[in-house]
Amino acid sequence: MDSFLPAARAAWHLLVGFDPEVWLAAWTSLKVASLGAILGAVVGVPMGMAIALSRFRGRDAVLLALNTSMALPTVVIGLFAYALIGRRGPLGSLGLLFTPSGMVLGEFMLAVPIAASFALNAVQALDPRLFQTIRSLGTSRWHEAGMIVREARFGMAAALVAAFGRTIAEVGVAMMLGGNIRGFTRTMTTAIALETSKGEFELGLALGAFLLAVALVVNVGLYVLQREAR
Amino acid sequence: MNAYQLEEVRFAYGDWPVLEIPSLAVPAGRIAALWGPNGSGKSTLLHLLAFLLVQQSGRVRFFGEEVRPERLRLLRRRVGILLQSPYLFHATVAGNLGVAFRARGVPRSRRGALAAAALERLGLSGFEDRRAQKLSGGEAQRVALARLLVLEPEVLLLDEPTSHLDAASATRIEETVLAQSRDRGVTVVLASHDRGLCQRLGARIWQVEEGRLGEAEVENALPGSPAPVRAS
Repeated sequence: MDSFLPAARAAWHLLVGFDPEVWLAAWTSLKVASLGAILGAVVGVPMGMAIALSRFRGRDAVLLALNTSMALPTVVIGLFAYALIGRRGPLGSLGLLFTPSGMVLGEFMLAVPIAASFALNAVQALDPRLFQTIRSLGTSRWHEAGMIVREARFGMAAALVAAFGRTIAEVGVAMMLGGNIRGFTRTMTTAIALETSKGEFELGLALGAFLLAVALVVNVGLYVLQREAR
Repeated sequence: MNAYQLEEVRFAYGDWPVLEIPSLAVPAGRIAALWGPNGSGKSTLLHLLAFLLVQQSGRVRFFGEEVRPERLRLLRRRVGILLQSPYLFHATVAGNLGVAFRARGVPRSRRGALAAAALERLGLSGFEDRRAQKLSGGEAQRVALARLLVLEPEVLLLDEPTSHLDAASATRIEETVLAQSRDRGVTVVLASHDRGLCQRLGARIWQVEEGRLGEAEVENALPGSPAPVRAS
């Protein structure tokens, strides 16, 4: 406790003094995590809706795969993405490894199952009478899908928020695909791991506090959206 | 001209037979009622007439046109079904009508007048900005009916339209249904276990029991009208 309080005070000064190390890592984190979550939601939400609305052979296997991929450690996702964009990988020629773009790809892979799962649950939780009402209007399938999204809009927004919550807080993908390059691919989580191991506890604490604030905002948003969805 | 003509129609949920109708003709522009106890197959028949279900065997004609699976989506646009417990979208009353307008591509220039007329008809003027989820059961039922009326369907299908409603809402709905039939020549088919409602609407009544139709009876809606007459 003796060392914690001065460290916390120093961390506070780093935050309010707009220390470039802190804010650059925060900016990289927000940028990469947001893009990864948005792209993940763009793919994951329709995927979750399609699974929720259709009955096909192997649906249970797809659900199992979806749930498993949600529980995968982030380093394993990072490993898959590394195999994809590493020098000898199929996308190696694009030169994405250790770049923010490469990190976005990894975060995207992390976000897709989360977004799909939230969207799936949001659609499955809809009142069955909605589907009858929509069908009775005799409109196109695209229009029907639009009406379903509209009715499940809070659940869909929760899918995006949950995906962002996962991508902003993870360290495995950012470390493996970004390489923790200062001012370029260093994120809040990778910076915390590095700075704390170097004994720069104040910087780690400042980044941790910022991350905690982001996590709080995300979870308040998620709570509000899920309450509205009910 | 018949709005519906059914021949040898059979419908089952899996191995469980629900409907068996050798013949049924619903005249266009008239009010028809399917009367019977809960679970007799009235709602299933109504869903079939709304093209939400398809029979396993037999033929259904709609205004002379044979109903084919590839035409269901288009045919649904010509009918409006009021479900027993209707679903209102998470929006205002006006928003609910808006969803229907957009789904059917009703021109913007016509929407205001159609909405105002339907809401006034159902005693809902001034309800436009009310949240649908905050309405009472009777108000919600009337909004759901207004959402159908703005689309000007050729056929109105009503599943227990006034059950569990307060007297004022029930009366509004009855008056509206009668007016639709009288003024616009809309064909109405309602499913109800309330014989009094069927009689007040002057409906041709088919008794439904265990998925089979009894003989049709004609009722007269006028007060002090004579007793029902058996019809062939």
